Amino acid sequence: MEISQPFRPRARVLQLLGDELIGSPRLAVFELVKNAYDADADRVVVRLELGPGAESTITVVDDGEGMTLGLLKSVWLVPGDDHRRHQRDASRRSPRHHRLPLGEKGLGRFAVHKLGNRIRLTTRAHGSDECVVDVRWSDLIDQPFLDEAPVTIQVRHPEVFTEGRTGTWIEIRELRDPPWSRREVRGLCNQITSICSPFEQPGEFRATLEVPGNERWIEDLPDFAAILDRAIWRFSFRLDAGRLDCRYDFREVAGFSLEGRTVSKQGDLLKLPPISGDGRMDRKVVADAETSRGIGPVSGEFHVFDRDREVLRRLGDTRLLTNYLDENGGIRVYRDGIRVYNYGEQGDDWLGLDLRRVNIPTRRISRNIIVGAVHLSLASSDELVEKTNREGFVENDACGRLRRIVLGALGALEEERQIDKERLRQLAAVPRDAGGHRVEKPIAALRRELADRDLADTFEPYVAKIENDYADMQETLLAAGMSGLNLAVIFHEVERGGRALHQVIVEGKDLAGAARQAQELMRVLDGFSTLLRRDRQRRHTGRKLVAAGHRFNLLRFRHHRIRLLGAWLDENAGFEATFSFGLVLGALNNLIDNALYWLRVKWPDVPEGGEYSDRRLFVGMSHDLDGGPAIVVADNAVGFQDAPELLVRPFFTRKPQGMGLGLYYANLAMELSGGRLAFPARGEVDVPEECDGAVVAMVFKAK
Amino acid sequence: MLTTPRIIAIDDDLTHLAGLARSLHGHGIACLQIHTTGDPSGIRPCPGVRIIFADLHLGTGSPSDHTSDFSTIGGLLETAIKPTGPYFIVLWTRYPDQASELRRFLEERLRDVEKPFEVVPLAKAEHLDGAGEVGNEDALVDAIVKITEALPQLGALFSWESRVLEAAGDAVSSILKLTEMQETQRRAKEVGGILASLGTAAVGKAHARREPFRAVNEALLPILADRIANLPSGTGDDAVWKEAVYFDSGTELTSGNAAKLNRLAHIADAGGGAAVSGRGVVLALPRGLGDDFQAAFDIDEEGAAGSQFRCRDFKRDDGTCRWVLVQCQAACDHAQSQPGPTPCYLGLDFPEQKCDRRGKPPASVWTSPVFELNGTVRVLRVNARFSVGLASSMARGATRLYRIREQMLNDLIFHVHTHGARPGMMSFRS
Repeated sequence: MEISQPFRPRARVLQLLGDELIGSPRLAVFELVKNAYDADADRVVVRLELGPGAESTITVVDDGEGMTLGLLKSVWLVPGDDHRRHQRDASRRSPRHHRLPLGEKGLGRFAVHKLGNRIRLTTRAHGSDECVVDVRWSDLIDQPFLDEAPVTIQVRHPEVFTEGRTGTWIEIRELRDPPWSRREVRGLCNQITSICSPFEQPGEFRATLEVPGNERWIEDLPDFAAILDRAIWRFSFRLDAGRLDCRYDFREVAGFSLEGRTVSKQGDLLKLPPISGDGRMDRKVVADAETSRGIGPVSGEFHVFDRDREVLRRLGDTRLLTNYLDENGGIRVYRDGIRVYNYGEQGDDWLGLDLRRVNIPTRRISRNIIVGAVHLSLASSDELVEKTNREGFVENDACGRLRRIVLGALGALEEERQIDKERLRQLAAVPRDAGGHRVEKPIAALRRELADRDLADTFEPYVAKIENDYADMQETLLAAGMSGLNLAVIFHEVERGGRALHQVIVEGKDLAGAARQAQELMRVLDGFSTLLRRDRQRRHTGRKLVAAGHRFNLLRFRHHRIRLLGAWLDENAGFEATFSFGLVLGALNNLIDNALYWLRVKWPDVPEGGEYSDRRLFVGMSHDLDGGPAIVVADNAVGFQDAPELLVRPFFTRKPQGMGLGLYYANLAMELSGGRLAFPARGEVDVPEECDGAVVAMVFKAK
Repeated sequence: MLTTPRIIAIDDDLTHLAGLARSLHGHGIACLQIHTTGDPSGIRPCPGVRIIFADLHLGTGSPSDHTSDFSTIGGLLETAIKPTGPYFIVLWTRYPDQASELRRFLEERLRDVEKPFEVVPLAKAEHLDGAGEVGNEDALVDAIVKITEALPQLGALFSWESRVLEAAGDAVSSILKLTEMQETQRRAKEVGGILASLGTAAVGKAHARREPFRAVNEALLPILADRIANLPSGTGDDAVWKEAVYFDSGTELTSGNAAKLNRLAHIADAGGGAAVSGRGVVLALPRGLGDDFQAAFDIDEEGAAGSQFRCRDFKRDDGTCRWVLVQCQAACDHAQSQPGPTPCYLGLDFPEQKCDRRGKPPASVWTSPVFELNGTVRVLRVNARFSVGLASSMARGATRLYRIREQMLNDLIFHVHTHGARPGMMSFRS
């Protein structure tokens, strides 16, 4: 026997769609505003009437195209209707403002259930009568099945949209608890005003909030433009098919005699941060057309603030700014000028900005110092699909690539910012004393927090290691009289890293990520373990050192198809010098590591099994430099863009995910061996002509 | 003469390294410590290594990510340790979650040496105290044992390998026990005499003098084989083997896998030496015979392939089928290198899908199990009626393709000899 039986949804499915799928009342309002955008409206007004005395109501009124009776019946009353999706797939734009629809699942309107129990919808389309629908959700969902819960539509001569006007008017009554507080309303106001990008307005669309009788609640909300005016750094970018145009501005700060600085780049490469995890992601280091597949052009604007006490003091009204940043800091995403929730909301760290800050707190930008927006085009971002619950895009490959692009752009900003940040710090900060830093306090605070959260067992090994290594390093290096080597910066960074980790633990959102970051912080110190355990200085040949560097990097040279030039496998001993082998080999490895990265940035990957790539890496022995014999490492990548003193400064790097310790370490290692790290001009040493990128020399102490 | 270590540990921190090694030694497990100070030139190859404890961060700088650390380990494996057999790496580190990344890196990039069967983490943080000393040596060794138990198949095979080594040791020891002298020099001479007797018994005095290793090896093989065949099950071995061997894995043996197993069991590389030397060697048909097949075998190639070897769609030059000769010399003749032509049989080596399955092959035909060779599943058919006495001059320049191992060779020889020895009888029926 065969029976044909259709699904028969319970009426309460409407409650599930609305009340339980949409995360918050604010997001519910957003859904209604988005519908107004799709209805081609110029303006939408959200009005909150909150008693006392009268009944509280929420009204959302737009001047869009409204709905005919037919549309109301065939679309509005059909959950999951996909006419907007079809419209978007066919690139059919709205008649007045040429918009592509944002809605795609046909569920957004059920969000009103989140707001109140009764809804009256009045709508009128051009040349039609006015239609009124009254819905009482509790009556509807009391019915056993959806098809037994009819809704009455009244068709009448226009009473609301008179004189040929069109639009939709939604009134919500019997509002749900908890009642709207001042704080909630201010949050909603911020949210409504941020529905449209403040940087890239979506044509003629404006959303406003009115709170009759409670205007005071929102009148003192900070003016967005005034806030942005206090940003010290501004960065704008556009990435299209692997080509990056960007502009960086550092503005003068009142009270500091520091000139502003602007860097503009056209047609540059966007360096991508590596992705940790399961290795499914591609490993390319720069964005190309493939990176933007299904995402389209990405542009953005970042405004970055400085919360250091000395700087804030000079900006005035500190509390207003810091409160604003605490509530609104982060990077938001807009598609066709309309916000994609919940990126950039308080509590959402979609780029992992706070976590990534743990190991290099000074250079990394955290959410509470940035106001940023990323813009996407709806027409070309078809692989970015919004989740039904409006909590970002579905986590697919395109979403991962978007993250890398935005983090790459942020890295480009951080690259330049670190230069001006240091200039600013030198003027603003009290000079540091290498011995004056103590990690005990942040570590003790971290331990207390971990104990409170029953996390001590998981994190204690990392915390203990960080604490021990810190103490060892401080004791060993300071005792050896090496306080002039910028060690204070390292110690300071570790302390700040400890505090940042503490903060992440307090927030308690991503403990696995926190454990990873604790490891990374540990790695900052581990990098110096060779310094602490360095082997005795002995006579070694340059040849032996180069051969070891070759052995340890052989697999990478081969994988990246590097053509090696010079003395890598030369049997000639070269020169003899006295140095600590492990220490100096570490320095050479760091130079190789850098060269490999920049060669990959400049030259595209060659497929497995292919010939050598255009990447060249030279190593040679030289006696042309002052001080003693040298090992010269040269490549044909992009070359150095910065002054030598900047290159060897700790935590300075132009790699998106680098720690900025490679050249610092190499310099330190050479100095501890009585030599130095040099950045000779091309004519100073004998380097093959084809190696026209970076040239670095490890100069050893002469006999 | 001295064997290389089976367990090694590499670390740039002497305290961590010594702590690990001391814990293992305390439980009777030998472990070679390699303290890296950057210079890899002093590290000797350990081809027989089975477990490598490696620190992730071998003190080679402060690079931007772990790739450089992985590369250092890979470089050590490829240019210094050079493992040849199965082994696994225990990543003895403060960054245990990097084990899978290291494995992926080595799997992708290691060349010319065996890749690790597995990379498993062992967290230093769980076993070292603040000063870097092992807090509880028993707990550390327990953790290591657990790691090996988590790879029961590898554990079982390693266990078998060490038992075979024990058997070899036992065979050697039994020879030494035959001596009566006490004084070392005289005892050594006495052992030499015993070896000479064994070699002579196996292949004759003249040949034993010429090739003493081969001669003594021939004599010791059956002794060793017997000891291996009668290995007693060691303490705890049963549990390991029961854990390791899946009888209900839910997957049938595919034809491809069967072919690989048959190759493992029955086919060996041809090895070097004169073309026709070595029992079971399979030769490409020497030019003198192959150039005029008809004259040599009284039948043309297509006819022979179809009717005598039951191979479909034989084409002389398409490179899929090849005529071969299989050397089937008697073991004693072979051992004693008796003069005269070497007995061989004509065979056809061809892809399994070309087997003509219409009816049975002639009774004179012997068919090998399918085996994998150069990525194809093949069979070898030998016809007992096509014997060839191969003079060394005829065999000169012939290519050795592979060698049939003892068990399959005996099956082939049994077949051709019983076929040749079958009696015929006249019978009359009404």
